[in-house]
Amino acid sequence: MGALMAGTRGWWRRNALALVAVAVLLPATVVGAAWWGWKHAYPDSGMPLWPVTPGVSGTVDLKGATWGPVKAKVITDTTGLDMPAGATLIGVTVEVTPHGDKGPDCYAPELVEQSTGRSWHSVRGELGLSWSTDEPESCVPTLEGEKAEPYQLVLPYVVPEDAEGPFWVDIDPGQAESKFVRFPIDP
Amino acid sequence: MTIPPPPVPSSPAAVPVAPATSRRGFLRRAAPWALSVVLVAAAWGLIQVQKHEDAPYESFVSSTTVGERAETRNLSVTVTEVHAARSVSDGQRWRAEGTWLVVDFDAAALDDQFGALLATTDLRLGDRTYSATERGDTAKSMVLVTGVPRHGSIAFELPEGALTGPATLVFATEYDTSADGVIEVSVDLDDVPMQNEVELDPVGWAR
Amino acid sequence: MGAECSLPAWRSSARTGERHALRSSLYAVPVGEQQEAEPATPAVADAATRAASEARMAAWARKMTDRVPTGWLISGAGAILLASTAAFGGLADVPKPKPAELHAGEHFIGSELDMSVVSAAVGGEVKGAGVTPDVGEKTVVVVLDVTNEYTAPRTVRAKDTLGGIQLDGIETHRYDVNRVVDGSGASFLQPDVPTRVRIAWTVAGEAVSPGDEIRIMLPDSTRFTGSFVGRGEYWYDVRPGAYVTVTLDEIPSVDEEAP
Repeated sequence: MGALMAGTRGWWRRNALALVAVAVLLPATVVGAAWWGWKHAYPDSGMPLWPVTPGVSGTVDLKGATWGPVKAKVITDTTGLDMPAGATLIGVTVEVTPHGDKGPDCYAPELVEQSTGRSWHSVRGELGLSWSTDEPESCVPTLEGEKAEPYQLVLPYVVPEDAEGPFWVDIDPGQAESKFVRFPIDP
Repeated sequence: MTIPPPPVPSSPAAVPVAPATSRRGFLRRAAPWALSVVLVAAAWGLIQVQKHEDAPYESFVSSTTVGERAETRNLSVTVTEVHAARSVSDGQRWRAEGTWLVVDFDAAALDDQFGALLATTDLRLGDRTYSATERGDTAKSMVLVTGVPRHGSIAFELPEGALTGPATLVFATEYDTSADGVIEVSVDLDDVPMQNEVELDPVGWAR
Repeated sequence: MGAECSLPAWRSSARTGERHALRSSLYAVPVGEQQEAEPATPAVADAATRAASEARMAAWARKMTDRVPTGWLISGAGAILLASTAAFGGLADVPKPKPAELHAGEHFIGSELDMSVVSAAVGGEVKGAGVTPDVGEKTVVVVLDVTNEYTAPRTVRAKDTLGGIQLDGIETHRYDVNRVVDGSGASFLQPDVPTRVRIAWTVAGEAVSPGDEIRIMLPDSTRFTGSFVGRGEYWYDVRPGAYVTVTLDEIPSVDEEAP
C-alpha cells in the first residue's frame, strides 16, 4: 500500500515540467485561436456589423472622411418626376468631407426602416432623373492626379405608403473594420 | 462455405446449458432473427420514404395563376397579361417575327433592394425550358424596388406550333434557383388567343 | 487439444467465459464461480489458461483459412477478367471517329446543335460584325444556321457551342456572334428555334484573301449529367466534329453592311 502512494507522487514529480507547460500553453492556444477566429469573422470580415452614429455635431468620422450632417424630407411635390401611385418620395442629402487627397469609396447608401428592417436604394434613374455630377447618388471616386473635394450625396428614395419612420441612412465605406455610418432620421 | 463454430472445451458438464426445447430457449434464439427481419423491413420502408438525391437542391415554389400575386424570398410577382403573337415589337426600333409569347407583369422586392434583379424568367412547356429573349428592349433582368412594384414585359421566342397546352412561367431573383424561392405561374396556352402583332410594355412603375 | 488442458475443464471455461460469454451460451458462467480463493500462483494459472485458449483459437483459424481455396479464387478471377476483356474487345483505345468533311449547306449535329454553314466572306472593317480589325488585320464573317436540339437554352459563346467554332489553320484574334435578322448580340439559343447567326473573327491580313478555301471546324462534345459529386448538365471532351470547306467571298467596302 505504501509503495503504491509513493508511485503516484513520483509520477507527478517526474512529469512536473510537462504539466506546467500544458497548463500554460493549453489555455494560451485556446485563447489565441479564439481571438484570431473572432477577429477573422468580425472586424476583418468586411461585413458591416457595427454602426457608428453621429454625436451632437451630427457628423461621423470614418475611413478618412467626415460624413454628415444629414437632411431628410418627405417630398410631396413630385411634378416632373415619374412617381408611382401609393408610394412616398423621401429625399435625403448627406454631406461628405474627405480628409485627405483621396475621397472615400462606399456601397450604395441604404434607407432602412427601423421597425421592420426593410431597406431601399436610391432610384434616381427610375424617377426619370438623368445622372448628374452635381447630385451624386454614391461616393464620388477621386480621379488620378486630382484632389478630393467635399460633395453632397443626393438620394431620392421611393418607399411604399406603409413604410413608417423612423429610418436609418446606412453608408458602408467598405473595409472599415466592420464599422459603418448610421444616421437616424425621421422625415 | 459454412464455418463451423469455434472449438468447445471438453466436458462442459459444469456449464449450465439451457435446454433447447423449452419455450424461453426458443424465444431467446428466435429473437435475433425477428429483430433482423424487423430491421430489414424498416430499411426497405426508409428507402421508399427517402427523397431522391437532388432533393436538397429543389426550389421552394410559390404557385399562382395569371392575375394573382405571389410572394417568395425577396420577390413578389403578379402576371397581369399573357399574349401570343406572330410578331413583336418593343415600341422602339426592334421588331421580330416568329412564334412569340409575351408576358406582362408587376414585380417588386420584399425586404432588401441590394442587388435585387429579376434574374430568372423562364417558361416550362412540356419537357422543354425556354428563357426570356435577350433581343430588343425588354424587362429581362429588371431592377426591383422594395415594396413598390415595377411593370414590364418579357417575350419568349418559341418554335412553330409550340403555343399549345399547359405551361409554367418561372420567376426568381437569382440565376441559380437551387434551395431558393421561385414563383411559378401556370398558364394554359390554348386559352391565349393568337394576335398578329404585340407591342411590349415599356419598363416603368406599376400603375 | 486435450494435452494443453492440464487444468480442470471448469477452470479454463471460467477464464474464457469472461472473454467469450457473448459468443455462445456454452461459455456462460454464473457470476461468482471464479471467486474461489486461489492459493499459490494465480498469475501463472491465468497465463497458462490464456495461452491454451489462444493456441486453440489460432489453430482453428489456421484450419479455416486452409479451407479457402485461394489458388482457385485467384485463377478464377483472372480467367473471368481475361474473358470479359476479350468479350468487349480489349483494353486498347477505341479509335476516335474521324471528323466529317462537309460543304456549305450540309448539316452537322454536334453538342446537340444542328449547324449548317451558309457562306463565308472576308473583308476589312465590316459594319455590324461586332469586331473591329486592327491595322493589318481583316475580318472573316461566317453565316451559320443553328438549331438547339437540347431541352433547355444554351449559351452561345461557350466552348462546346458556337464559341468552339474555329477556322482551321488560321489564328483568330477577336470574336463576336450576332443574329443576322436584327443584329442583336446572340447570348442564348432557345430549344428548337432555328436561328441564322453571323460569326466574325479578326485575323492577320496575310492569312486570308477572297477566293481562298477555308475549313471551318464545327465542335462536338459529350453531355454529362453531374451526379453524386456534381450537379447540372455539362458538355465535355470538346473535339472537332466536322470540317466545312467553303470558298471565301469578298465583303464589299466599309460603307455597306455585311451579308
